[in-house]
Amino acid sequence: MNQFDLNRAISSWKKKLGRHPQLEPGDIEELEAHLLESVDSLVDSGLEEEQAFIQASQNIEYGFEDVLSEYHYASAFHEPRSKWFASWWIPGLLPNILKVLLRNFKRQPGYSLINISGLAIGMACCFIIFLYVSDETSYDTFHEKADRIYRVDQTNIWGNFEGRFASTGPGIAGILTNEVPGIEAVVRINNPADWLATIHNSSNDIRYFEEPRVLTADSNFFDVFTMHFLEGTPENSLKAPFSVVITEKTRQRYFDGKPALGKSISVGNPGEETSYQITGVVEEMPKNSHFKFDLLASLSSNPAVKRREDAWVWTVFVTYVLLEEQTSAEDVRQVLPGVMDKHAAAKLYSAFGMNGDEFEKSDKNWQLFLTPITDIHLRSEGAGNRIGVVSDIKYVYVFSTIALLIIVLACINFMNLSSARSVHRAKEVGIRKTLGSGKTELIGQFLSESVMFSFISLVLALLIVSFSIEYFNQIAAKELTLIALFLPINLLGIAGFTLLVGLLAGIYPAFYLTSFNPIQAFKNKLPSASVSKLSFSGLRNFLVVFQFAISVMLISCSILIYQQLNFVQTSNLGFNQDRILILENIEKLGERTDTFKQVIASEPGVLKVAYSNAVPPNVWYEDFSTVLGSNGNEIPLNSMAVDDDYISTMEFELVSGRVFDEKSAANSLYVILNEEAIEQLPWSAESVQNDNFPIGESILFSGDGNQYEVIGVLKDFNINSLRYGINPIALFHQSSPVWKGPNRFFSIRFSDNADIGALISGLEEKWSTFAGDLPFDYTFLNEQLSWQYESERQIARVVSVFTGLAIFIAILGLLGLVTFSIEKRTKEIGIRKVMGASAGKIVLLLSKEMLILISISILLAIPISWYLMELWLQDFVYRIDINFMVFLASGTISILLAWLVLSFKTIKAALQNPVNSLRSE
Amino acid sequence: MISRELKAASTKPMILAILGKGKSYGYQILQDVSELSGGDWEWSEAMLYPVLKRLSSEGLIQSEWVKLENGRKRKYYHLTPSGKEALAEERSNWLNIHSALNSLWSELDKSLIGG
Repeated sequence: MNQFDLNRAISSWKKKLGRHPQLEPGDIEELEAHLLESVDSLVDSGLEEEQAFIQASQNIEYGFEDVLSEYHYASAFHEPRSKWFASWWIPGLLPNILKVLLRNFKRQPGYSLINISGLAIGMACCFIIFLYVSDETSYDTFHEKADRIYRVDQTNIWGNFEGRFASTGPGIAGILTNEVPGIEAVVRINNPADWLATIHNSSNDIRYFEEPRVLTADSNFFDVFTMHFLEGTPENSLKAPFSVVITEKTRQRYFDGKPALGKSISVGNPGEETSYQITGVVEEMPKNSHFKFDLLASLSSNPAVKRREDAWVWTVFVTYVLLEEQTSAEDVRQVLPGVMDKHAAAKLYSAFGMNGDEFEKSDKNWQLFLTPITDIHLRSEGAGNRIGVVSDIKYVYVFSTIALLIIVLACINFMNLSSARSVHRAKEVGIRKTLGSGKTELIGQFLSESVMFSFISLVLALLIVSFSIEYFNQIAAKELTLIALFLPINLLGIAGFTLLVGLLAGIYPAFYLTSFNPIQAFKNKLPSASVSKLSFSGLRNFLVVFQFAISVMLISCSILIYQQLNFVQTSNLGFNQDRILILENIEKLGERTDTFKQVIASEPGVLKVAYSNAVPPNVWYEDFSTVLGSNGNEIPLNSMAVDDDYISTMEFELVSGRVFDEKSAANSLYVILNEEAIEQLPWSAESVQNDNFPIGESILFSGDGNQYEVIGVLKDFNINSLRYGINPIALFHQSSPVWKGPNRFFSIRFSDNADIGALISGLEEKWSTFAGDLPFDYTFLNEQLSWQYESERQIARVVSVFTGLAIFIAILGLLGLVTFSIEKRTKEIGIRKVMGASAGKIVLLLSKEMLILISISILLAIPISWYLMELWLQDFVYRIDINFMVFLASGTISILLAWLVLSFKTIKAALQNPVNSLRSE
Repeated sequence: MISRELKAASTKPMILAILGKGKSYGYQILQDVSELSGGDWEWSEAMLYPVLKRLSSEGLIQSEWVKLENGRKRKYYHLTPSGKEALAEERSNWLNIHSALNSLWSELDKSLIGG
């Protein structure tokens, strides 16, 4: 007979209990303890151990089935979760998803890297462009009254009344104040010529500064514009004449940051200085302001302003109005035409050599416009900005489009690769399905995987941005920081965007793969024809075409932009822009100018030296002229005052007549015109008949009211940007009475083989003996001329960087797809090799499909980029014609790049031993 | 024999009251109940343990394993502060019922005597 073993009985009893899933380990132990107590007490009361056990265990089990549901109820909902359960906010499947994700990463590190880095680069581009665009659109928003400040623009009276420009005469302000209701304040800003500032800190600390960023303004400047005062108060700082407010940095330069209030600055050339008193120190203008200054002086310091208070055609001021709070810009705009009409006949139009009736009969219309201050930077509509640089909303659109294209490219890749990759996971899906995974769980798994990938890319993208923002700032001439990305609203947007990209990338594989029949999936036999469908399905074909079309577009656009820039910089302007050094500040030499000219003319390497009051492209001395004795209209005529060496130094081409005589007193009576001026001036019918026409004819220059005899005609030359056409221009002799403005320059032509370093140091040495501590400033003419294309060049640089990145992303995508398609066809390749196909044939076979797709995309890209570039080139009067070769070249480049990637992979596949590839399953 | 419903309704105050005297464990609680009712009430283990579990999930009682000298273990239960509040509330509820019934019984007695 078997001996009863209590321990064994208990352990088998426990096993029986353990089958109830509702009971947890602790419950069973508690019941065991209970059982033991019962057995003990029953034994005490005289039962055999075995009997006691049977009775005790029956007691416990009695009715147990009925209450098990209560156990379940209590434990499932009310028992605190055990430690091995994740917190409520982490989905229960997350650890598993993470594990699978890591395994996939390890199994296919190449794919994963391509996938993540492609998306990260795309995102990084997007972020940088976002920062750029948000900076561009933030201009002038920092003024507290920005919504009520408007700049007053007017019809471009200097451009034949076409378009508008942002400069006004001083008289406009008075009219606005007195006759237009709803205006709280009118403030005028003028940019005087560069200041030469002298600071006497002590007898042995005298500092000279050349100050190009000086503005003068009406005393209510600070009522309109918001600036923070470090010293002084806004109220009276610009009231008195010869007051000046300086910025913090200027205070640093002048006084090493020590208090500056009440100190004085001497302004002007030695011997003719004016003293300005510092009445305030302000913080620098924010970088997103459409004008900036180092010194801001009272407008009343300039006596001419008082004298010509009512002038309308002295257009060297920028006028701003601050509207009253209840006034809308529309109200004011409706009043303006009436105000202009009223003053038209009275005095304005007479300035143009016509009486009011004549003006009204002509199609010329002189109007004022209001531009909101926040629109000045991007939407000046060609009006420009005489006190700062403006950009164009067009570039914001260009960059936003590029950002969009790049992120679309990156997302396409991401989706493409994710879905291609997922075919390898058909088996996994099969197993999961057989083990009871529902479609929803599988979809959830794929989606959360791709979302996680996109968030990893996000982190990487932020790193890329933080490392590359400095480089971008350099090429785009910006001061962007990452801070803007971390504003709560932007963070939210970024997170939402990343989520969306992840979801979009996951949707296709999620729904496609989970639709497999598990049995087929096990056999790696996907639904009929789906292998080929997956490698080159319609959708994926479309994506590849789309990607390459964008790349080809970007390549051809960058080539065309570069071609145009190169064209405008190297095309013949009508004079020789190379090897000319411009020496500035010549006006400061006064009477010593001629001697200095002789001295430097004998410097080694110097061929010729010429004197002028302006240098291209900055020739702005425009006034009106007509033919002497003519009653025809006046034309706007730009002018320069030059000496008798200027024409030969610049190598202008003389069409007829002669140039100025050397050292002839009669030079002051003569003028030399370009062909365009001859074309536009209203010559009389008789004079045109003259043999020598136009030599010997005279013009009336309204700038000074004098008449000048035409002695020569120059072939047209372009002194301004090639974006504009050739304007009429007149060259007067420096001895003539025309108004010459404040500046003088030497243009020094040096020889081909001149040592430029030695030349400059020689010039500087001579300069210091003549001018002492006065600043020695020089530039090269061709540099000056090319600076005007600086914004285009910035755009070109930025576009080419992003083009490179877009191509890189496209190549990454292609690489991934090719790898995938080769893997799918490993066996085919093996069989073909066994049957005798050469490696070359196989490479051709594998790359054929891709190359066909790329060719399609090139064909698509050509018309679109053609159209876009035509739009851009329209801005230039002198422009290249779009050459079909460009598209051929960019198509070839992209095919070559693609083929490089293809052959990298396909050659490897083709060279493989077929034995290995045939064994691949 | 008392009804199933009454048994179910009284388990909670019973257990809370027993634990109100001090900590105890499943087997001991069953002994106490049987003793208190003079053997009239037979609580089964299957009934007690789910209730203990529910009370601890409601936060009225807490448990701890205590190791005994003979090597065995016991799971002891004691009242939590909110368990003590619950006990006071149960007590006043049951006293209300008790006094209501008491007065009814005595009226019933009178009428029986008087009738």
